[in-house]
Amino acid sequence: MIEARRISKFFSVVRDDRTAEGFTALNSVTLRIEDGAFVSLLGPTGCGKSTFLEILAGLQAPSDGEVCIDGVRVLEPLPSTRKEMEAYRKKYRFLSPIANSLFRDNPKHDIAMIFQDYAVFPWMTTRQNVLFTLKLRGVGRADRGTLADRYLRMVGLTGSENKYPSQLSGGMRQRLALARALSVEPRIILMDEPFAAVDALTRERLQEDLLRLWQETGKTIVLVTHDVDEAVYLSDEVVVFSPLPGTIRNRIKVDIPRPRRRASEESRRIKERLLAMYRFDTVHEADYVI
Amino acid sequence: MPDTSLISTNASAFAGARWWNVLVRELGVFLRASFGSLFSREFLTVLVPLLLIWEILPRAGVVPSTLVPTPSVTAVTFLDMFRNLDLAGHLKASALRFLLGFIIALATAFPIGVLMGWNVFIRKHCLPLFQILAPVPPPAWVPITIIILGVGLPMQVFLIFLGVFYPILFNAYQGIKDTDPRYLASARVFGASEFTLITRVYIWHAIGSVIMGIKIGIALGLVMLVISEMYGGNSGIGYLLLEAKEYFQISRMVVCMAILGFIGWFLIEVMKYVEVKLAVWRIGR
Repeated sequence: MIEARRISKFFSVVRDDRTAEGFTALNSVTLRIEDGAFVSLLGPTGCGKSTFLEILAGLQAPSDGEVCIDGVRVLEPLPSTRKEMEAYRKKYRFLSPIANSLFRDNPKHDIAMIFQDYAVFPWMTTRQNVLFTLKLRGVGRADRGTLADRYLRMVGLTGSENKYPSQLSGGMRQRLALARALSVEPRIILMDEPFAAVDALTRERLQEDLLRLWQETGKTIVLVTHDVDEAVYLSDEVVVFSPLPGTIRNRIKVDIPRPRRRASEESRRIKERLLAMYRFDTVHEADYVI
Repeated sequence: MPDTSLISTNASAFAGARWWNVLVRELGVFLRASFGSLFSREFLTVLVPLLLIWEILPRAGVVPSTLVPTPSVTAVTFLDMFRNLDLAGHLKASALRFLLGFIIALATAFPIGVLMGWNVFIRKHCLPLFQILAPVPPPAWVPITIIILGVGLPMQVFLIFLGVFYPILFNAYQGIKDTDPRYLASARVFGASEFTLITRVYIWHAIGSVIMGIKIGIALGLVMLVISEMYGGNSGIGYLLLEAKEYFQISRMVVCMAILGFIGWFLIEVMKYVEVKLAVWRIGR
């Protein structure tokens, strides 16, 4: 179970005239995601949902609030007073707080993440990429090969094992990222707009694969997306983010029985509800800037 | 890693032959890439006329032939130096100095650069020191080095080390520091330790920058080789160059310069080959 309590994130941005300005990316986001759920975080681009996902993964410390995965805190929040700041600096003066450990490969939590721009290592071949993540998880040398082959076959990358990511197409790279995340068999998968850069045909296939996989294995999946169709088609629950500062605007349960059809009457109704919310936001934009 | 199990099972019978085959093939690839570019049809149309002009102008008396030795004279002098001046011995002495200085510099600068790029704590403690020391031109170190280390191998090796050290250090540092945080993040989510990050992510991301540093280091190392041999020593290419100056033997100077140019070019070609071998994945871009 993932629990996020009152997560806020502030940045300071430098304006053109060299003055600094506070900038609230996330404002008190509280969210609880049960085991085995498929949750979509839906919002327009740049509303802080990717930041939220990185905070869930422990790649950024929240300015305030805390994230617990199965009751274990992911990262301590950033200091707010000068005194706390000094203590924080002292504690992390050698290793950054997001570092795992100096010599032992050991993930802090049983999660895998798929990044928006894939972030597969360009200096490793397709197969090496998967083998490397398996090694990081401490999978024995003997099992790595068979696991890698199995997951590469699952995403349809057999035959491209010895190609480098630069030789793959965007969709194939995305599938490699998917295979890499799935191969370590995590309990939680965080996805940051995984299908945004994939063509429509491949996207549908990947979505079907993901659904099948989720139903077979019962993993928890958190999907960040700006695609309303995708959110409604895939997830149990859609968490709607408002534009900046990012807060949860609404949570909509998608209780359409599975298997779903993409163009069914119920999903169309939910889509219209979601879109109406955003239309309201854009029309009444002035009301929000307070 | 590419699956080597298939190769190793049937390789045992031909192990010797296979090893030689690979060596010969790689040597062929290297020679084609390096000398191939020198003797390509395009470049020969430039090189041959240049050599002809160089040969003809002194012979025709346009420039004084006492000051400008022609290529043929240079070639004859080169053979003469081999027979009478023990050029091979001088070359060996220079090579030993250069290699010692270069290897010591690489073995120290690369790890320090990597550590500085990886960790802010180390960076803040070490980087200012190197930033103060690096702007001192390496030739400025010659007098004090001669006084402290005396004239000989240690002094020459130290001066070459100074020339090679900073380019490798700063390029490695910069390359490691500029590693794309996305790759670090994705490795960290899967549980990579800092050591694994360095060996599997940072270094590979920085490989182009490191090799660039090594190339600059080679060039500066050759400069320091000549300077150190001119100031102290009784062997080496720099010494031959200085001696030729004393006796006003211009053709010998030209030979020394040509040898130095060739060595520098050859080492850079070696580094290009190493780069292609280490960073195969960059070729497709």
